[in-house]
Amino acid sequence: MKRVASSHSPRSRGFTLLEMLLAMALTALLLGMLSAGVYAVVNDWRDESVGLDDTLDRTLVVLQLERALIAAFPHSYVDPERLSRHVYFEGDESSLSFVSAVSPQRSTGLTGWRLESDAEGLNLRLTPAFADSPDVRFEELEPSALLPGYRATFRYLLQRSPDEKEWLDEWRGAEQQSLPIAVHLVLTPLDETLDEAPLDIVAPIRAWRHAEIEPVVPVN
Amino acid sequence: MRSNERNRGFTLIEVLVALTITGMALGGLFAVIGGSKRLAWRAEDALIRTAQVRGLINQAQLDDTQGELPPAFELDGLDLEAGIEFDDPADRTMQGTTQKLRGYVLRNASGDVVTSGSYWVELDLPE
Repeated sequence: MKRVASSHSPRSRGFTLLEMLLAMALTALLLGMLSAGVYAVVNDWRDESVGLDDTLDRTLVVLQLERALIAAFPHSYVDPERLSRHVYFEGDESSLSFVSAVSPQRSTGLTGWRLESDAEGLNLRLTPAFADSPDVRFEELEPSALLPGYRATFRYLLQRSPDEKEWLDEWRGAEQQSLPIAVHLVLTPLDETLDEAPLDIVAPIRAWRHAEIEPVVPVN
Repeated sequence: MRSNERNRGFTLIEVLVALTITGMALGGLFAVIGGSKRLAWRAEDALIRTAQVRGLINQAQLDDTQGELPPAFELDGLDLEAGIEFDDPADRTMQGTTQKLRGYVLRNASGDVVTSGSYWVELDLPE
């Protein structure tokens, strides 16, 4: 008799349906809030790491191009039609072809670089530089994306006289028979809505004169 | 009496302590994630700053080597000044010295030193 009364005492009767529902609702609410918070944080972190990767790529590209331009070489080739010797360095505002003593693959010898900026981004073609003009071999190559989403702008420093220097928008090595003494490269995001400052770099070219060919300074 | 004490549930204090501990653990977790996010921002800034400084120094070096040149670009709030004075290299009899070191200091808008160092300048310019 006593045992029966004890088992039916209000203390050990278990939970009511209402209590269970309330507890489960609270638990679901808390879990939901927690997972929403974690989701937001993880999403945010992924965006952040993508941004960091992009910046890293951009900086590496700029520094690699700077290194290649500093080591630009006054490569000369013979034009088979005119049988004259020309220095190879062709550039305008959005593209630049030159020969450099460095290459991304660290291959020995000289490497021809062609940089082209289009609506997709900055593209690169690389080829070993032999005795002929690298233009021929550039045409056979598919450009590979170097930095998608960015536009490159080039300017070339001309030395008219030791006291007079000028930034030009294009450079014709075949006519000027020399390299510019410096190249100014600007990387701007193609997406105008991005609040991102352009990245400038100036690369001085030490070997801007060919050993034998006299530079031709263009008239104003 | 004893069985009554066993089954009486949690007191307010116990619940509060448990909640506080949970909150602290979660807070610590979020603080760590937030901290690494700040670290990512700082790393991004440092990377861009490295490339910018490189461009500025190249420009200054070119200016010193080739004579005055029209500046290609300027950076807001960054100012490149002359740094440590190095002695002129001693004259050598066998082979003339062709380069000397020039010091620089880079300051930001509030005058704090961002970085400092030195670069080589050609002494005898080609004709």
